[in-house]
Amino acid sequence: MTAYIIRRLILGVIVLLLVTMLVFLAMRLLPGDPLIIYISQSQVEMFSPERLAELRLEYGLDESLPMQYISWIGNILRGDMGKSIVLGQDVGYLISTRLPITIYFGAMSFIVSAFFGIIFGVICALRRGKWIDTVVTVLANIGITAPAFWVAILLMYLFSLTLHWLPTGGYVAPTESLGQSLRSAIMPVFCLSLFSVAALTRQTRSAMLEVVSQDYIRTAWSKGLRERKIILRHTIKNAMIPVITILGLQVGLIFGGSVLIETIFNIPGMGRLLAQSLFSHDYQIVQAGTLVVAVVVVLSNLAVDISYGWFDPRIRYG
Amino acid sequence: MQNNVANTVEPAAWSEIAPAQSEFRRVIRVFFGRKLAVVGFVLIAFLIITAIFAPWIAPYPPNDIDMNQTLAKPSAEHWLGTDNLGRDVLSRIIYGARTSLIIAFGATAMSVILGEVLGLIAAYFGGIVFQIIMRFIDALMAVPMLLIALIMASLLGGGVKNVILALGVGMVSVHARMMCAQALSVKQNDYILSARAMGMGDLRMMFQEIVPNAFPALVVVATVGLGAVILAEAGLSFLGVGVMPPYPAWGGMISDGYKYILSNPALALSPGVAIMLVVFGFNMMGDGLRDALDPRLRGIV
Amino acid sequence: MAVLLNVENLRTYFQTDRGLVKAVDGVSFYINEKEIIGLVGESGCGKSVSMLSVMQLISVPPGQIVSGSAIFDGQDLLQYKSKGEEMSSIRGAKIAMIFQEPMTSLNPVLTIGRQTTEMLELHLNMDSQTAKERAVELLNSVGIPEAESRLDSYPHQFSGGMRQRVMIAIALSCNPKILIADEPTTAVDVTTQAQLLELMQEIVNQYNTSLIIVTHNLGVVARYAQRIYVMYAGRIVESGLCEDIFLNPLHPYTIGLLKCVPQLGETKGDRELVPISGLPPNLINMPNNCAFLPRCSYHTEKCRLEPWPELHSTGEQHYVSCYVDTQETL
Repeated sequence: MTAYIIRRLILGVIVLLLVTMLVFLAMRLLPGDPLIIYISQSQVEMFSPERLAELRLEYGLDESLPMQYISWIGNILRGDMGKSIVLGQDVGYLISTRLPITIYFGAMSFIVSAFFGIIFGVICALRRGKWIDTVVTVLANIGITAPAFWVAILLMYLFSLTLHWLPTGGYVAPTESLGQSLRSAIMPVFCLSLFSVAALTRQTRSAMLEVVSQDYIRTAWSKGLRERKIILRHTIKNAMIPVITILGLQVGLIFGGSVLIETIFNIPGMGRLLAQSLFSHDYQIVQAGTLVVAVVVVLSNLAVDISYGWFDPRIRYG
Repeated sequence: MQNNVANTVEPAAWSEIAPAQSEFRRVIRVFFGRKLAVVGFVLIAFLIITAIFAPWIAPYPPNDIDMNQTLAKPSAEHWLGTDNLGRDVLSRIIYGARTSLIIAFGATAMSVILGEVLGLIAAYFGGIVFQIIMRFIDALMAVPMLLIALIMASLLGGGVKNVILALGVGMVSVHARMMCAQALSVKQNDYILSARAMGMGDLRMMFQEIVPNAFPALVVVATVGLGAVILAEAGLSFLGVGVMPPYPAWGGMISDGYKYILSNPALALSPGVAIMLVVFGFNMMGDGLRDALDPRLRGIV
Repeated sequence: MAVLLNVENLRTYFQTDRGLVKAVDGVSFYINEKEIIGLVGESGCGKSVSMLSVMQLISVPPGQIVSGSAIFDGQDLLQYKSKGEEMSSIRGAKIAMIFQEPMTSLNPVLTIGRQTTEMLELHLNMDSQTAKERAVELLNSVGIPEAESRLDSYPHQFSGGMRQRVMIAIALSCNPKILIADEPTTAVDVTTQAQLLELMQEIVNQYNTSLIIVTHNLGVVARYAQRIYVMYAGRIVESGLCEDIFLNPLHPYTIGLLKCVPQLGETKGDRELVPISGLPPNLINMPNNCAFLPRCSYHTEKCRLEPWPELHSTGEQHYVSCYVDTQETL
């Protein structure tokens, strides 16, 4: 098992390195003067050629691409993620204030999705064909089709603007007021988890049905085991193996979704920061932000891979 | 198996040696046997017809501005009301179908071609080639698909072509992974060894043996991918990096409508319904195709 | 010799999208204490389905036990609900079953130890320590080396033959009165086959368990079974004592089967091996007359016109379902 984890870790590091290269290259593909990675377009137009040449030296743009990459990585590892072109603040600082908020909402959504998705899926599989299966399956099929941002608008229209039950968004730190915090989090979390709950319900249901038709379940019945034990001990653990894969994918999806949801609900998180930065051409933030998101995704995938080993002994003991 | 009593006790599959043509019929039969798959098929057929015949179906030209009728609520004249420039919402939704379809098929085609080729090469050649390609795909997957598409679309600018490019790149990893897994499992089979023993070259091997076997999975993933692309495109348009105005795009309409939701809710809400119906259609078709082509894919796809 | 299990007129049908499959269509058999019987027939003849029906392990849609009785210990098993308490307390404890595919019949995510002890804890009420000790004994008795350390192993770490032994150990752990072995040797190589069969016979003697061997391989039952039932297309076409069946086969199908099996002591050229012509029957829309008719070389006009013949006795426990006296024709 340890060997397996170490292998996964090394792979993770390699992947992260590749991500940094991709991000670096993507920035270099920008049309126009490479200086716009560091300063705004309007400044580029304003400054004299001498000033621009100075700046190029300052930002190391005269060096070869690999050198630039290495110094950039070096800076990041030292904690220097650059300075925001538009906001003037240290990028590292900006991210450190926004990231926890996104993780707050993201973690809640992830837990909600996992919990409800798996439970609904199991119930549907066990009550296959009965009305609850039909209803929940239909809802799940609809859940994966609804654009999260549209649902957000719909909910906001209903619950905030019309019924005035919930605030239109914003963020209240849980340390300030837990009640308020949760109240304003209801709609965003719902929107962020909608797709995942539906996808997990479908996948769990399908995995359970697949497992139930396996020979070893028939063996379990032939041993005289009772239904409850067969489900809890023999079926669910096997069914979780494919479900874990899907669960892992949700992390990336939730992050992606937070770009839109945070924008709509006015939540000061990473997602909104990235969206705004892309529009304001604040490439310093885009670079670092993408990297940070990738790190979180890779780490959570690692966690998923490791838990794979726990569920499936064939992976553990090769 | 071994020392059994003669060949006469073989499984009853003897009577079922099916020629290729009736395999196609079987797929059609199973597919249309599932109610939901039929519903999906009908929805998509409806979508395609709407897109093609938009000029004949839409009650008004989609870009006709009428400043006297801005933000009108749904009425007999305008079934879904009008937007902030007086344009008929229903017509814009109908024309929006074109945008959605073009982008969906364009991006999917691109990601299928790129992704399948990458996956095929990786699986076929194995070793270091496999490692490099797979790590590259992993790196792509480490960044959420929407973010990739968003960054690319922002960098390249909006417009249909760039959106297709951005979404195509975003979806590459899914197809690459799928193709790689399928190709790897086909590679295990003995008939690959025998083909090679017969001297079959690499390219022929790939396209004659591996691709046909991966085909069912490919079709299913591509179909569902169409839905995913439409959702992503809507997100991009909503944020303003998708299709440029005045071309009607469902996501863009939601973004416009968002501001005016209290005046004419249909403006923001109806495009979402359209999106849902289309994605639902693709998903149900995907499910149906999977069950018809190869139910064994149930666990994987 | 007391009759342990008496199955009469079992009918199990399956509703498929191509029609109604009459997998088992009127099967009757019995087994006594300390007896080994063989149920022989080709794939698809309904032998496995008969056993699964008795154990109530048939998935109820699309399958259904349409009629019949299976009297065990004074109770009709077929009257119980398949997921009910009564059936569950009989399965494993009184009647146990092992299956054809050892690869897929064991749960891949649970240890061998766990899969063994759970039976002991359930039916024999053992506590976990005693159960573990007993499990080690059981694994030893079926020839698993280093049983104690193997308790924490997973099925994928065992070979096919080992897995089958584990299954036998598990099946016998609670001393069932009957062990049903469904194609126990099909998925393993010849040597292992022989070992497994020897093992099973030993166990039957030791534990006083009766054994039903279901197989398509006559050779397997020849040596071990006392009585044999031959099945074809969902019915029993011949039954009798082992020696009678082999030395004096009456049904054309049985005759055909024996004609294509090499016999020990024969050399090449002594006798031609004659396969049975034709294909296995399609169990949907079966004709009313004898199902073996298309492949039978003894048939007469009567066989075409009359419905499938009933089993009738031809002496000393030997029954056959045929209109033709194949002895005469010889």
